[in-house]
Amino acid sequence: MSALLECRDLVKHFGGLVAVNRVSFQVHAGEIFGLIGPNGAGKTTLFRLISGVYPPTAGQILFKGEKIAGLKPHATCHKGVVSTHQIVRPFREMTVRDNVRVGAEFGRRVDGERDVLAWTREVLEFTGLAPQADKLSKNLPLAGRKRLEIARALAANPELLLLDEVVAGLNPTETAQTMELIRQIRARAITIIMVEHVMRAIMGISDRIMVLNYGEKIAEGQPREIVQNPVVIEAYLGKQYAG
Amino acid sequence: MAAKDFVSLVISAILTAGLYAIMSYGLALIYGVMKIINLAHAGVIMLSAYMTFWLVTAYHLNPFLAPLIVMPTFFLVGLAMQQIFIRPIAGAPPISSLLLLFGVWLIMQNVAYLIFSGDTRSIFTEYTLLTIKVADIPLSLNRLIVFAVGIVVLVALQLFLSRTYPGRAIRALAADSEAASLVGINTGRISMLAFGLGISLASLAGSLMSLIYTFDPDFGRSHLLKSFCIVVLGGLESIIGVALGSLVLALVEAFSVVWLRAALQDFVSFALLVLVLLVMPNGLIGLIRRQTR
Amino acid sequence: MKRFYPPRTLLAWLVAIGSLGMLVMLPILFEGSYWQTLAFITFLFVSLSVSWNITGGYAGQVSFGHSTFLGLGAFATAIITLRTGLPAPFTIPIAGFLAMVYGFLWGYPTLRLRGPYFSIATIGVGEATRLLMTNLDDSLRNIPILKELVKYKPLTGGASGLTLRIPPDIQSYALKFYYGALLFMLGVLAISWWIRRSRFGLALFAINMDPDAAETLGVSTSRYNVLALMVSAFLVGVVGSLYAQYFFFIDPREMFSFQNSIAMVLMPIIGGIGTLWGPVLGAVVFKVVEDRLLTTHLEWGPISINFVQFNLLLYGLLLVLIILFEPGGVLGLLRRMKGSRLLRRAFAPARQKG
Repeated sequence: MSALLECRDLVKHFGGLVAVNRVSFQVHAGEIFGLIGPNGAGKTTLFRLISGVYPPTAGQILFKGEKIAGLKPHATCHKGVVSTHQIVRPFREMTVRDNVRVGAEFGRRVDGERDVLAWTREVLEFTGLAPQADKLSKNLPLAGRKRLEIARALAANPELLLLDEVVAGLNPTETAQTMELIRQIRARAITIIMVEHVMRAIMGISDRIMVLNYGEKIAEGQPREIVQNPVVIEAYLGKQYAG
Repeated sequence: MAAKDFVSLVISAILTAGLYAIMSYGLALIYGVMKIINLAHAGVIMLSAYMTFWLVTAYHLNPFLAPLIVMPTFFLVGLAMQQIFIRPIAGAPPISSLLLLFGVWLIMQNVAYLIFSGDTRSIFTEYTLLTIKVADIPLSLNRLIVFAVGIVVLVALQLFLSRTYPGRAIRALAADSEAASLVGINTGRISMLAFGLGISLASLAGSLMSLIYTFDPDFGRSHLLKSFCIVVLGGLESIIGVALGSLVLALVEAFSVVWLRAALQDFVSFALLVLVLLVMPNGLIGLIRRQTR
Repeated sequence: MKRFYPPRTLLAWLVAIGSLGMLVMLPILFEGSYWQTLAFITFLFVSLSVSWNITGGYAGQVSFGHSTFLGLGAFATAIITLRTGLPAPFTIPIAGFLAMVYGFLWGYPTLRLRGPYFSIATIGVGEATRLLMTNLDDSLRNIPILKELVKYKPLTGGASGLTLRIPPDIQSYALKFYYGALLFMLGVLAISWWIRRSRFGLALFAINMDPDAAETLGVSTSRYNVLALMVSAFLVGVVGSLYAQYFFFIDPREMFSFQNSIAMVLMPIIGGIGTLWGPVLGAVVFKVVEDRLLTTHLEWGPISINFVQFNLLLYGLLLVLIILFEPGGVLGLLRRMKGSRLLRRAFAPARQKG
């Protein structure tokens, strides 16, 4: 099976700071790939490299075998890679519906042009935002804004969805609802990479997990292996806890 | 070009650069600490020129002592401006403060038109026409003194920023506002101080310029753009950067006269501003670093 | 995004038709009058304000360099008619096109800059263009190959400007332009209205509210920003052309002036930035206040007050007050006033970031 996304020896420098250092990994079609690591480990930078916000200093990013490193975000979006933002940023003065419509209008095109408005409605239904469709997005509560962030990205019709801390700040019920939504997204054959701090959430849902620390990959494997990996435990809890 | 002409152009550029450094540092200080582009900079330069004019003509004050009154006055004006205009819109998108200060500039400019009319003014002092000759190159005494005053103030400012608590707080705030507030710096008060100082520096520049150039209520617009050009060129990190940027701009302007009509001298600095914004967002220092890494 | 919809109630329709009818009748009622000229120039300023709003209001890119388009449009028309004898009205599309090309030339690079940096760069572009155009003839005279361009006829005329041939029947000429400008203004409004409702407008509003988020959702921010500026430049260029044809005399220092750029920034902000009707309201208020003040003289013994400047003073004050208290401008203020359901209905809420 060939990889949907492959990163080879990705490096990103900011001035003298090395944010991502020679990270390589593959994500396969249909899986949920978890990305964890302590604060400042380079997770968000890695997302921004994949989505094209920053060009990498070195290394290659292949999506379906095609080089996408260095493309602008709107171009990677058209290829089928769409990301959400860690800090939710809805278009505040637009309605929820128009927020989703931006993704539907400008996202990836599918064969046989579909009706943008119908597609917008479908995404609103799917994400459960339909009742709030005509509210201004700035009036949504946090959980709603986070959901809108996902809905907008879905409307852009991704093959690979990058979710950056979509449950941070949510209560347990809302977290469970979001996790359910993510499962349903996967059921629609959309591959997901997610960054999350809430361990229980990400361990329960990911097929595989990669751990970053100080910009370097320190482990990769199934959730069960990761929680027992002494290197990971050391990175998270400090040396004294490592077995 | 004869060697003598060349040397005199360079010297003239250095003298101009001293003046440029003062006005640019006023803009840089405010931008560095508060991330605000002070379009009222131009208005302050213009009003301080008029204030100097008034002090010199009405009270026969020695023009080189005028900054002693002009600077503290505008320091207070700056504090008031910060309280009235800037504080209420903290957290608004940066374009709001730009437009607001643009409005303040319009008000200053048009109040000046009402009070002083659109006539061009100039300050004629007993030093205006004096020149001294150094190695056969005539130098305007006026400009030499202006340069000296500027250097003294810049050195004093540098000492203030590096040796005193408020000065160091200003630098900390410019480097990282979040960290600065975490270590217990009163960011509100320091911002106010920085704004006052920035305005005060602009007024010094205006006061000194009034002794060299003619001015009217529209005075200062080109200096605003030049200041911005210098700040982008030199970066915000140091007085050295600003001085370097000032020198580059002054040299480019001085030598452009050789190829271009005098009326187009300002064109060079505006074109340079746009160019610099586009190709080197990190300024000269950033460029040098990138080359040497 | 709240959108503007055409007035739906009967009353609103009546008001719209009534005011349009009045504008159509005005030259017939007050033939060749002062009011006709004032109305004509107001049409032009409404067009400028609405055009600027496409870039500054919808896309949120505040440009202080729009006088470059105005000047270019005016001089394109003047130079082409003076040199080729082509009837001036035929030069209108050329004037718009040239302004649009210039918009692309400086917009493409500068629109990569964010927010305030873009604004500062546009001041630089505007001032550089003004100086270049004012000194164009004299500069070209010193360049061997280009000398021929200004050998017999001036290009911009430098400090003396350019004068167009004045037609014999000035009355009917002015009347044609009155209706032409009225039609053009309605056209500009229609374009502005269409953009708000279109996919293009959705992109511009998204960019305005959050360029990064727009970009990740597939909006090419650079492309739409440049497109918006080009549309805006084209329309402003046409206004420049109409201005030159109506007043026969143009001076580069005036046409390319910073004051003109300022006017284009002030009108939409005062009226209500980013809305459809705000810029219209702003332009009307701007022109009428300016006109009233220009014709007012105040003399107190030896003191005579120059009211031309008072006008800009007032606008500076208004700008400050608006940013501090009512980012929605005059429209936002009207909307706040209670009990006016009609107003609330006829005008979309001012959409402003803050």
